[in-house]
Amino acid sequence: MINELLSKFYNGETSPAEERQLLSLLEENPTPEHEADRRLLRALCAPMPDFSAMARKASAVTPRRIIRFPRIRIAAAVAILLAAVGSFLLKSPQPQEELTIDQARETTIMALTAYNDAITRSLDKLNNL
Amino acid sequence: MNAKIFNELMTRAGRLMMIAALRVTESQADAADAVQEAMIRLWQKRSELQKAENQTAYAAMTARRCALDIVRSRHSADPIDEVRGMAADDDNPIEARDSLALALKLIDALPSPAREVMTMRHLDGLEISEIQEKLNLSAANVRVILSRGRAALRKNFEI
Repeated sequence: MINELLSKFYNGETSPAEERQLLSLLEENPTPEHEADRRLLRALCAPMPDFSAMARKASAVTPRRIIRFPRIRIAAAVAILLAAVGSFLLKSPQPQEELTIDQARETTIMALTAYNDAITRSLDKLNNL
Repeated sequence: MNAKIFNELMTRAGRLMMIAALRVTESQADAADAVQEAMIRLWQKRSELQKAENQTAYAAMTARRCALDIVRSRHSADPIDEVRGMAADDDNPIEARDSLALALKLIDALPSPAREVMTMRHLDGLEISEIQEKLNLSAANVRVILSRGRAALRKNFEI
C-alpha cells in the first residue's frame, strides 16, 4: 500500500486525501528506507490553521472607541496644556528684578517640570477617551 | 458585511493570507499570529474590505503588513537557517513546528515552472484542473512537473 501510494505520489497522480493517507502510513510505519519520503510529505502536507475559528474570534473582538474628530482631540489637548501652564504661572512666585544664575536655573526647571506634567496629563486624558 | 460573510471570505482567503505572512515571518506560529491580527483589523475596517476590488488580495496584503509588524517587534528565537541542516535533523523541533515554513523555502528555491506548479498545488491548495487552467498546461504536463518537483525536493531530505 505504501509503495503503491509513493509511486503515485512521485508520478504526480495522488489526490490531497491520498497524500494525507500516505503521510499517516509513513508515520505509523517508519522505516529508514522511507525516512526522506516521510519528511517530504510532512513538509508538503503541513496543516493550515482553522481560519473559520480565527474569523469568528476576530469578529467577536470589541473595537476600541476611536474618536473620529482629530480637531476636537487636538483642541482638547491644547486647552488642557494651556490650563496647566496658566495654573503654573499663577502659582509661581513673582519674578524678581534680578535673579541669580541658580535662581534662574531653578525657575526654569520648575517651568519645564510643570510643562512635562501638563503634557503627560493631556496624553493620559486622550488615551482614556 | 456581516459576520457570516466575513467568515466565508476569511476561510477562502486564509491560505493566501498565511502564505503571505509566512514569507515574511518564516515562522508558522508568527504567521498564524499575523493572520489572526489581520483578521481583527479587517473586521474592524470591514467597510473598506467590502469596497476592495479583490478582497482576497486585500486580505493577504493586510496579513503581510501584520507580519512585518510582528517581525519588527519580535525577535525570532527559531530562525530557519540552512534548509538542508533542518531537514536532516529529525530531533530538531523546528521541523515539526515549522513544516509549512520549510515547504515554502524549498518550493521557492525550485526553478520555474516547478516552483509555480508546486506553489499552486501544495501552498495554494489548488487542484490539478485549476493549475492547468491558470498556467495553460495539459493535465499530463502538470503531473510531470509535479513529479520532477517532488523528486527534486526529496533530495533535501535524504540522509
